[in-house]
Amino acid sequence: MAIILTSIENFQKYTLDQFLENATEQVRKKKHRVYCDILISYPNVFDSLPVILGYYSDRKRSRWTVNISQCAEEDFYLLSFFPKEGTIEENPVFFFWKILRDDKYATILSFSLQSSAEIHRSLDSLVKFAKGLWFAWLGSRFLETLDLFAIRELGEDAQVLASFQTAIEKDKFMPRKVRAYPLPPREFVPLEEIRNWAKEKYTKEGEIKTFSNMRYRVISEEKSMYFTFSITDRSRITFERGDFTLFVTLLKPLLVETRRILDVLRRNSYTTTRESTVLGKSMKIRSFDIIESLVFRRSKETEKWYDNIIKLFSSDIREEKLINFTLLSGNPYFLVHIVDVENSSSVYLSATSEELQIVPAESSTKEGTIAKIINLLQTKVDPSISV
Amino acid sequence: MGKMTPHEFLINIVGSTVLNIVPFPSAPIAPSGVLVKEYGYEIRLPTFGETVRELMKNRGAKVPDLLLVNEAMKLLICVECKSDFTFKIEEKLLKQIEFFSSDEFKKIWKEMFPELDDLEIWTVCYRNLGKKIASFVKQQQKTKDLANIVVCEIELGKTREEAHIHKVCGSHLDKKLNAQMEGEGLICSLPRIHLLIDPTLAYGERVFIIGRRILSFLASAYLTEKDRLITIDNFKERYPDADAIMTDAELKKCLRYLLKLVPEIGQLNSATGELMLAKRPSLDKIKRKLKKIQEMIEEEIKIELAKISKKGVKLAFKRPRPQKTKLDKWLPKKNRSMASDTSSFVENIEILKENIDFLLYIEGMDGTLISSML
Repeated sequence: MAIILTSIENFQKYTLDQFLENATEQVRKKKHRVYCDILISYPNVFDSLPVILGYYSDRKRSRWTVNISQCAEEDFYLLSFFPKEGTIEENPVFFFWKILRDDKYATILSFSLQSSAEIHRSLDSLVKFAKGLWFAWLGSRFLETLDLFAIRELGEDAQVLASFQTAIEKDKFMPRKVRAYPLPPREFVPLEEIRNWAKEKYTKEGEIKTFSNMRYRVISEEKSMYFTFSITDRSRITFERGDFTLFVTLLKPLLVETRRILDVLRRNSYTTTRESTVLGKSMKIRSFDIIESLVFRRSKETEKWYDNIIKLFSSDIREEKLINFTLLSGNPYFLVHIVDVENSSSVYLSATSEELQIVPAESSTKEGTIAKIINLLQTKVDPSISV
Repeated sequence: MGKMTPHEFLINIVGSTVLNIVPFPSAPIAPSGVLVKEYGYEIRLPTFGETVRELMKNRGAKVPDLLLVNEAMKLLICVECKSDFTFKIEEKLLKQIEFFSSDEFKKIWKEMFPELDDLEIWTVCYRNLGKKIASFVKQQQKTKDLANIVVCEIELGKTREEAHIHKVCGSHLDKKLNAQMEGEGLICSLPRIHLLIDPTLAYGERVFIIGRRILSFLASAYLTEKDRLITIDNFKERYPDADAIMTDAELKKCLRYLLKLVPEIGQLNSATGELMLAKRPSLDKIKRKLKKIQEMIEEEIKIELAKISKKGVKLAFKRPRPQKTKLDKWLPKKNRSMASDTSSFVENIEILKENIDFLLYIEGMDGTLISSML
């Protein structure tokens, strides 16, 4: 920590390249880990971040005073968490944020060299507080097929080995994180073996395995790459070994994938309004032009598809902050209005014995709401459901 | 309450044929929006003002259940859905189709859609009612100059995963659609969305639906003062369908009722209709109370509102209104044909019973007569 503190004064003079150089050195010489999170925000929310941080800092419950300042280059920021007096926090926590913006989203690549616990306490608390700022969703299916993704980017010779640390197991009452050791702990095996094992578990025992965190070793002799890192289903990366500067080049296709997923998760309903005059009074005539939906079909292996959907959405899902109102329930047709009170958005979910549709209940549905629902469907209904 | 009423279900099925629900490119395509995709019919949600509503009311009519437009065919379709067909409903339907066929209404829709040339009325009902409605319509067409009317039946598929729409009588002005309806009819998906477009919905139902929708403005995450303020315009922007069946005044009234029943949601400025959401709402309490509303029938909601109202509850009795229906004219005839149609006789007796009893009015807030009991 002392090393980090001595260099704080220089942080604001940093560029991204300087940070990467420093991070690579820390990993190589001091065996430090680099934490990299992909955060998503709406451009207007990002612009009002100083105000939001002000509200966050003023809150009695907050343990930190947070501020954001620009570093030496455009779109590269330092986010500092300073512990308030009387809290259990001892050290300030720093994050370097590289911002990539388009008209719909501000994607934040957040880097930090501090301890995992400090990062999780500080950044998680802020993300939980700020509406419109969230960790990008990748989902379990992405973690299970990272080898296909890496081979596409690094070439056929790339090897992706994996060892899982935690898995979410389908439980009688609610999904819970468990340590899963069908393989010797932390041993790396080809990712395909893990996929096959999960598939076998499902087809033979009907047990759904979804992964919230996976540890990888990527080797590419052609590109001289050797990395060890882990990723969560919410795109939180812990880099352990290798050249971090080189690793960052791999983040670009990951960001492209994240952006693609966001486009799928964001469902809109487009309406047009026309003004008219009737009997001397003006009136509006609205029409629905397009309503974007997500459609999933039952996979052949899935049993009790319809029953499981009804069971899942017939009552509220408190741990996910989803409030459900069943509108129609027959045999086999089900329509439910799902209100996500965490993200202030809502959808209609309808199901038949073969198919399921998610349709926005309002002009625009938040990405986090759909991500949550897909996660639940993956875990409890059909593991093949993905975006 | 809470689940769709049969009438609302019918409207939503017809609505789903004209909603352009587009799945993500890689997804399998579901059979939704058959009328919009194959035949070019689109839904229109006009905000009929007080003047038009008053005019309709004077004619004993109301706004149509659905308005569809086919721009290529220059056609306007007024859809009337019937989940039941009693004498009262017969009378209402007659007034509706008379009004839609009138020059007064023509003047209205011509101003609304100057590009359209013709009007057609679709009467859509469940399968068991088709013949009954068709014979009624045919009878009216003999004596009255009415617009082109088509009667259609909706039947749920054997697996109940889709609905089949068949034509019972009349011909569509749209020849392509008519050919299809003469043959196998239309297959459409069941509603994938709940549109707030049924103009016959009782206030209690509306309050519950709006309550559900208001819930989606709440968030457990940080909300700024600006986020917590919901104006009528915000609400309509987010839920454009609400605009079609409710004027701003009616929406305000629903919000007022909602906030009386579920005060945990926040505070309402009844003059402007602006709702300031509570800073830390108790979602459990809100859900519990919404659920309670969901389980209540209309009368119970009205009584609950009257109880909550600060003005106190006044009970007033009112003499039964003089019968202005055609029952007087119809009953003797129906009685004579009792042997051939006993079911109609039983219906007549039911309606007679309804009209004999006294009306109990509970005068509640806003001076409105809010409950009638037979």
